[in-house]
Amino acid sequence: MKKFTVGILVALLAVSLVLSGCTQPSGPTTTEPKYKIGLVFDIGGRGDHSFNDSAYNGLVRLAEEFEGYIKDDPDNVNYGTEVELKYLEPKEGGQDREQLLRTLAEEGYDLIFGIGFMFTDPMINVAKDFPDTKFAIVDGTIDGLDEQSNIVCLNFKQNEGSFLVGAIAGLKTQTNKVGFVGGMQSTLIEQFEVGYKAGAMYVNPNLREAGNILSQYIGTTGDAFKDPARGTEIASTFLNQDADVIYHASGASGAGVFQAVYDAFKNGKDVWAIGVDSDQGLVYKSSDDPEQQAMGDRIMTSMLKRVDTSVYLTGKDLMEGQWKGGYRDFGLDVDGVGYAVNDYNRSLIEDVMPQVDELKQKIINGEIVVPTNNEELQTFQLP
Amino acid sequence: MSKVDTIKERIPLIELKGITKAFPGVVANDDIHLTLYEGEIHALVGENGAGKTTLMKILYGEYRADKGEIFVRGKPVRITNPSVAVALGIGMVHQHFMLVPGLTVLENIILGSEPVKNAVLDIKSARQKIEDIMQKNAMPVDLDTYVEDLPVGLQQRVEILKLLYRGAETLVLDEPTAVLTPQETTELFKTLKALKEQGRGIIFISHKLNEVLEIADRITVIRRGRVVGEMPIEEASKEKIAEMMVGKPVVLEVENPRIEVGGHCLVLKDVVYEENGVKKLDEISFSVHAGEIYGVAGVEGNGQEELLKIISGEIYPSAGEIYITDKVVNRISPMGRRQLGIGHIPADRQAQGLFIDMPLYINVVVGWHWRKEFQKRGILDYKVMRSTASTVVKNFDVRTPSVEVPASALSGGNQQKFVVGREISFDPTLLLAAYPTRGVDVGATEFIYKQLIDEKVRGKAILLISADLEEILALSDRIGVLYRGKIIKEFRREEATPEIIGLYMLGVKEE
Amino acid sequence: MTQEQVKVQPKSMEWKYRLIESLAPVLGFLFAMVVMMVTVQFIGESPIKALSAILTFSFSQAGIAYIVSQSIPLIIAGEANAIAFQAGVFNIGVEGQYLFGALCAGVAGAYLNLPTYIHIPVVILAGMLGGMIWILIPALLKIYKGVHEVISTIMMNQIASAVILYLVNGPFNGVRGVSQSFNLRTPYMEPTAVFPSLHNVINSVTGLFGFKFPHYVAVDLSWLIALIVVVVLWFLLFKTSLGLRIRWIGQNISASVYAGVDVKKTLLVTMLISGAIAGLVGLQEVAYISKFFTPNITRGLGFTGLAVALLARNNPLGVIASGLLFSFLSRAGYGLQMYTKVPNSLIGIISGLMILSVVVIDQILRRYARTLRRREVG
Repeated sequence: MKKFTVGILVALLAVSLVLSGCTQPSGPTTTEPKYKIGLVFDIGGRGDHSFNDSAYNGLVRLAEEFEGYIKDDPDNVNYGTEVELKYLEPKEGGQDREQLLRTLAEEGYDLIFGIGFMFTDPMINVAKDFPDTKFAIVDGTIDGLDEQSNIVCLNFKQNEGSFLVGAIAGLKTQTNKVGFVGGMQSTLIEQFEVGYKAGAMYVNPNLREAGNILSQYIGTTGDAFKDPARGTEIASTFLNQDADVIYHASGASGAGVFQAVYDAFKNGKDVWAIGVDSDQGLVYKSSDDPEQQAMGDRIMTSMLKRVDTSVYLTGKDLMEGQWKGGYRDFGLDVDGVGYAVNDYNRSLIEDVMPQVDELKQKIINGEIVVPTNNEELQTFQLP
Repeated sequence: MSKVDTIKERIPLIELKGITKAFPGVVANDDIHLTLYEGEIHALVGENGAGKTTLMKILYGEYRADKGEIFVRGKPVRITNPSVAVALGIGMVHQHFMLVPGLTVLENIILGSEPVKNAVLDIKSARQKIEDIMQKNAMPVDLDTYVEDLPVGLQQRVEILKLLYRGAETLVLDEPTAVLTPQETTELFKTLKALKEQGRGIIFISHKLNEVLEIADRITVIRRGRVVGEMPIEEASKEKIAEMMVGKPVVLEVENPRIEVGGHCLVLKDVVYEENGVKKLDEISFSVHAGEIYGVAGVEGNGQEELLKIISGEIYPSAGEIYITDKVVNRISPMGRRQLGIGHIPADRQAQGLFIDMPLYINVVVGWHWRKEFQKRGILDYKVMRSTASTVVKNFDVRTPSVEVPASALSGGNQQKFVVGREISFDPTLLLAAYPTRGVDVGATEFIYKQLIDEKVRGKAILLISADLEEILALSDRIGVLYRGKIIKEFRREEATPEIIGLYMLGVKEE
Repeated sequence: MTQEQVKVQPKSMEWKYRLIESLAPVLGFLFAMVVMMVTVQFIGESPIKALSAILTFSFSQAGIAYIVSQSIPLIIAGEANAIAFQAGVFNIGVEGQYLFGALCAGVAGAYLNLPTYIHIPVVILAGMLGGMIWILIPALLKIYKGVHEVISTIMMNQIASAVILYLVNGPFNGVRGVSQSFNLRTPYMEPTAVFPSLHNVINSVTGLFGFKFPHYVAVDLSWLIALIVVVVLWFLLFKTSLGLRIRWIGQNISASVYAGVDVKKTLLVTMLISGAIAGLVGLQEVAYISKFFTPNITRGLGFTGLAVALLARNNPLGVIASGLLFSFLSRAGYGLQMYTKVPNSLIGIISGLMILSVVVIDQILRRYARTLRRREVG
């Protein structure tokens, strides 16, 4: 027993001595930043190739333009000391969202983002306790806010973005059959589904026939956004039914959809996937893994939900004294949504881009009113 | 005499010199000397807790001695752990076998020293080697049977084979016969004699004096951690050894007066117990009266276990009736029967009679926790429990530092005294005594006999089940012989002799 | 030596073994910190910074408040495991039992209309009943068919996940037609069913020592429930005849049979008690924090409860300390995330390593003490 005690104490001592020896002062910021902006990711955190990464890009843009730095960031984003940016990730299950928001508020952050609608209740609770702190929820809706509130709800016209990628799918399909894989069944994801269907039907009469647009959801809880296995399963079924373009709105589960498409491609099928939220094709192509890069080649485009734009614009407003509570929707008009064009897929979709951009203009002008749910889809005016 | 002289000229196989080992509060071994020669069976006898097992654990490297030296073939050695002992050719068969039930005999034997040829397990050569050993020692076992399917005697044989396979020259057997039937014991002794002929040395730990006298060449008696005598077998006698062990002459013939019997306390009437279509108990009828001890003699496995269970209530009869003091109890639970006044000294005190890790003041209520004095509205009265435990400890000479220690802190004999004392203390009308002195030393045996007889004289009915014929004859007023689930013959004590009972036990004679 | 000498023995080294045993968790904790620091060093972050981050973050006012508050479900889960362990039952199904119990409580709170003084007890009883229902099948299977509870309770956990999903999607859905909320859940509980806050009571006591629990930390009726569970279980196990029988069957079934204990009945009772306590685990979250049941409710408390009980040696009083320790370890993870650049994915691993270290060191030392004690007895 003595041996154990002594052993552990010696180990403790040795470790702390050795380690204190090699502790470098980690560049303490002597000047206090003017603004502190915090952000809590949704489950999955950084590296989801999608939603959270897009939010992270918004932080990077803020750091760039306002001479700030991201605290404790492995990538060492550092352009100055004017703004401190900090992000946290919830645990699996995400029941600690409130605790994380509160931690940031207690640490004196001026503006705190919550990424995802699951922050609704936690944000209401925390915002009440910190009336001088500003909060922004991405993709969530909290009732009863006005411009004086300390919460702003940042939403996207995902139906508009989905309409454009639906049009691309409708124009590019060879088999005249396309698919949609949704994450958690909800009115939010329904907007993606409906916009996509409307766009596809608008440009391709064959797709107006019942059964030519396949659609399925992965699940009914938040877990549906991180179940790639299920994504593969559903996408494979679609591919076996001769669909050749599949759009997903399922967060991290989308990796499974890409996998299924890539596998079918390797088996000689000319099939494509469409990504969601961020430019997933680009992210895959930027990977070090040749397998992932090859998968990126099968991503035709992505529906961009510009979480980065929303985070950036909201942060910008705060620092320029333009903060307003309430609701804010980012549509095609402010580039809040869109479709991805990069060096890799440009040649592939170049032929349809003029047509798609024409549609985009029509939406901005109000000539096309994109439906937001299945009922509106029924009455959607096709050409 | 000449045999002994020649042995003494040789270098001993094992020599222990001045071994001393103290545990807090007890000197388990005190300056012990022991020598073992080739081709010798050396019996180590002593009461439970005398220090035999400790000494052997030191030899086997499980304990380290505080003082003293060990020599193997004249060379001083330091045995720091069992693998060192094995390397020195010392092997040990523990009381509880160290076999893996789900493996075959062959696998068990080679386990831990698997033969390897070109990085592959070489089963074939191992099998050959083991078959040679079995051949040479006339101890056949089917190598492909699973150990769990073997009877205890054969399991023990596997243990010995395992030691021989590893090249053991010295074999230590810790109470090897405790678990064996008489037939299996005979077989074991044949094996031991064969091993002796080959020049191996055997240390045989036991307190069954008959066996020691039958098998040993030399005897060392230990009492309270010290050697009190060493003698060649020619000079030994049962009385002499017994006296050395307990330090006073033992009255092996116990005073057992016959008294006038009272009414029926336990009656079995044509009781049948069937399990999976096999009649474990077959129309058993007998009765036990107040003021008598009814002994059930028989070779183990003839239905003793089922008989006990059916009386205590763990199993219910398929047919027939059981009466306890004129009440039919066929379907009454064990608890209900205990409340009718059954005391029960169980067959296995460690596995059944005691919660080995719980203190004595809790163990004192095992089976009696329902009694009013121990609980008020379901809440235990620890004060009463402690004082009851103290009373049992005092009245039944249980040697323990206090009633707070766990039962495991007591030696086997003291555990048994505690259990017997507990079951008698609550004044039962019927006492079931199963193997009441199994694994208990001579001193404690005598004490327990006296207690049982006293209870009888006080007018209790006692059902005694034992494998020890001497015990049955010494204690019983009437004797029933159990053979294949039947009481095939009843005797009054006066009519019985060991020889005639033995014939019935083996089924040679039937009514 | 005479008999007298044998009886008058020195008191043995018992105190030493007790000391080792009681120090075991402390040493385990220190070792966990070492493990944490070494791991952090490998990641390239300063271990000293990590240690100070953990300590300052945990022992701030909010930190302590969170640790205490979040230990409540852990303590209750620990107790549910502890009582089962005492009877030798490995109730891996605490997880499923509390999920189902929490659902029952949420439903009872949302769909019944009762005065507060009846409604709250009904919610509590509904939780207990739900837990009992969920252990009933494994209990009956074990008692009558000899099916090992580890297998059956694990299966029941899976079934629980599916059943609650179905029930909250179907009959007990509280969000259908409510477009704004996407969180699948039951309807909000009636105000009469929501647990009252105990901030005033607790703070009036802790205030004497200059400590106040902030209002956003859950200080509610579940504290009292946990306390009652602890005391009742301790009393049951160590002071009552039933408790004695439970501990007997946990130690030795055949000796229990010999003693006349109705093993089947006692097993059933114990498992039902364990299930009932398990049903209380989720109440803090359902009846106080969220005020509804959702399938996204905190998971894994049942499994952590196993470790909590193990570390507490299944002693109901020890579970309090052990629950607080585990709550601290979870808080430590947030400290790392807030003040160091240890990636979040590694924080989960580090927390796991710390838990493992505590339990392993504790077990090693206890076995060591047991070996010494055995050796003394000879």
